[in-house]
Amino acid sequence: MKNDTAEKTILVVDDVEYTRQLLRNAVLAVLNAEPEHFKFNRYKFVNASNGVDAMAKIEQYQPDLIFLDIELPGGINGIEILKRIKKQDAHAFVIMVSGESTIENVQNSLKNGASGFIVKPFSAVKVAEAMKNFEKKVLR
Amino acid sequence: MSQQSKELEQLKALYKAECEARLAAEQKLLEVEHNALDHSQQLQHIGQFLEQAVGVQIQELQTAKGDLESQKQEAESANQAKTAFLANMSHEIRTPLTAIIGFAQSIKNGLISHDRLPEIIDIIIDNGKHLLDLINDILDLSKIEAEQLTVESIDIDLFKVLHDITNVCSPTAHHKDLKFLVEVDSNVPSSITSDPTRLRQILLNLCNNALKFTQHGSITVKVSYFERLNTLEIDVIDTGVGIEPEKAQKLFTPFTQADASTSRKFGGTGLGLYISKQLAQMLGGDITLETEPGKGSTFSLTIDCGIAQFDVESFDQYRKRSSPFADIFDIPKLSGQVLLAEDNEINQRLITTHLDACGVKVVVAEDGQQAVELALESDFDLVLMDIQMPNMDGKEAFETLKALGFSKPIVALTANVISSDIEVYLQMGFSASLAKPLDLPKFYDTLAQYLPRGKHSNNPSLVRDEAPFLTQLRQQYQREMDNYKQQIKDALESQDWQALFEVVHIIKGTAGNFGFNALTAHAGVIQQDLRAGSFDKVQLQIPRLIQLLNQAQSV
Repeated sequence: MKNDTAEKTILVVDDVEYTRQLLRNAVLAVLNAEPEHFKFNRYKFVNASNGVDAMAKIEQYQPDLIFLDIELPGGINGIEILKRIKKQDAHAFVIMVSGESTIENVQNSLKNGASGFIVKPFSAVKVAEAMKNFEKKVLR
Repeated sequence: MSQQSKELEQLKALYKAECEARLAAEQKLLEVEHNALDHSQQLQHIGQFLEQAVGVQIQELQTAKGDLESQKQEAESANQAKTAFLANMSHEIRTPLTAIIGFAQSIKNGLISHDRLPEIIDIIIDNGKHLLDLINDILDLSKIEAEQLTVESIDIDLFKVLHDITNVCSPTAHHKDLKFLVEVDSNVPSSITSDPTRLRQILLNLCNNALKFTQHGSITVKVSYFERLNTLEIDVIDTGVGIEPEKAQKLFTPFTQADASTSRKFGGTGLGLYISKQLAQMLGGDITLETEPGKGSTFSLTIDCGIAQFDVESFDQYRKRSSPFADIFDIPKLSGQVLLAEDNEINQRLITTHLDACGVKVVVAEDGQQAVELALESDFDLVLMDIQMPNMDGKEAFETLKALGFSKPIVALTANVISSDIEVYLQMGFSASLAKPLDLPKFYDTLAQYLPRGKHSNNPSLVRDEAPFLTQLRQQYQREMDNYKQQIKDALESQDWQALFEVVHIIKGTAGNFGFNALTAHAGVIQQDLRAGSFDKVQLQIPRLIQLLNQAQSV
């Protein structure tokens, strides 16, 4: 890919503002903590607080990486959004975010093409793992 | 004439009388002579008798004298031995005491620098222990010499004795990189009657000697049974330094090790083998030695079996059954957290014990599903994954985790020891495959490969990494908690469980990120109760939640 080192866009979909901030914070902390392990370090963060908002932001920003909360209010949950995202772009790299890693959530995520699954509260290890997996996919 | 004839007559009569007298005298003389001869014969007899009698007495006296002399010599040499023994004993006791007192004084006088203290204290402890060994041996020795030592004759679980000896000796062997093997012939009785304490003592002595004098190779304890003699033979075979034949015999004499320098180099009281041999003889057997310098030694202990009983179970089976720790070795010191996915409760407990033993934290998942949930939820350094599990098997759990980008090593635990299966697991991407029942050295080797050594602090949390940024955010969050508290109260009053679920859910997802882990954990509990519909329980949990929120706000 020619623009490997170009700025990447991360969309964070979560209804709680703190969670969005914390996730962004976690990603930046991971990149700062071990910069030698990451090729990309320029990221732009975009937020969405529900499904409709998320679809609009995807349209608008074409994010490279999406963190998608499963438990969203307003009838349309993360799994539904995942289905729609994947329908539009089968290669989208989507990391599911949830308060609980119930096997239903996990299997639904996997079945619908999620590339990762992160549980709240965020651990540096898991976030780092997700970011590395993302880089691997982009560089492949 | 008449006168003449008278005179003649008189003369004749005189002559006759004279003749008669002479005859009588002659006869008397003969008689006397006879008597004298008799007497002289008698005297001769008496003389001969006397001669004989005196001769015997002289002989007896001479013998007695000889006996006395040899007794005197014995007494003298016994006395010499005792003196030598005492001198030696005193030397043996003085040596460690010198070290103990000397180093203790040095410490008192401030001659030992602080960083050398542990080393010096170890020397003092070692010497104290040596002294204790010595005194125990001397007590045994004096009991043996005074013939006061009695041996018991009770039923002994022979396999257990052998197993215990293995447990005691294996760590040292492992530490020195030596193999410690126990080979028990199939016809060996599982139980005998003898003295268990003394048997153990002898075996420990022989094995400890073997361990002491062997630097490379192995120590083999070979057990055979001679049915016709009802005798047990236990050979302790080492590949150690060996002993020259002329020195070999000295080994069984008190206080004489093969070499004077031996004690210094290898320790030991020099009494052990002597005591062991005496004990073996008391148990109806003996200890013999075959050795060759540089090639090793074989000490053969024989004992009488008394009442021998036999079991269908072999020693190896017994060993496997009685302890999975049969082969003891150094357990590595590790740290980190391991997820153990294993449905069998016994295996859970067993493997958890092994993991605890090396300092690793363990979380148990009951099946594949739970393994996936837990692996995603927490940070593990390693996953141990049983293959056959209900709900979701190990392979599926593995594939699920890998598909979601799980990057930590996953080791397959499997009862399938077929090599083609193991191949399959490795091809799938399992980091390694371990067969159950676990081969512990291999198990620990595998763990050591993936887990950090010794103690280490957990990954520094994000909170600490980005303190300035977070402080602001946290203060904001702490203020926000007032709203949470209000929402909780409102939800409780209106029994709006959905609303309560939502606010609890937010707390669970956020509090931990600011370091309020107790709050997140408690919110998780309430969430589960809400989902289960246990509203009574929920109401009991709420005060604690409010309390934790207040605590978090006051930080």
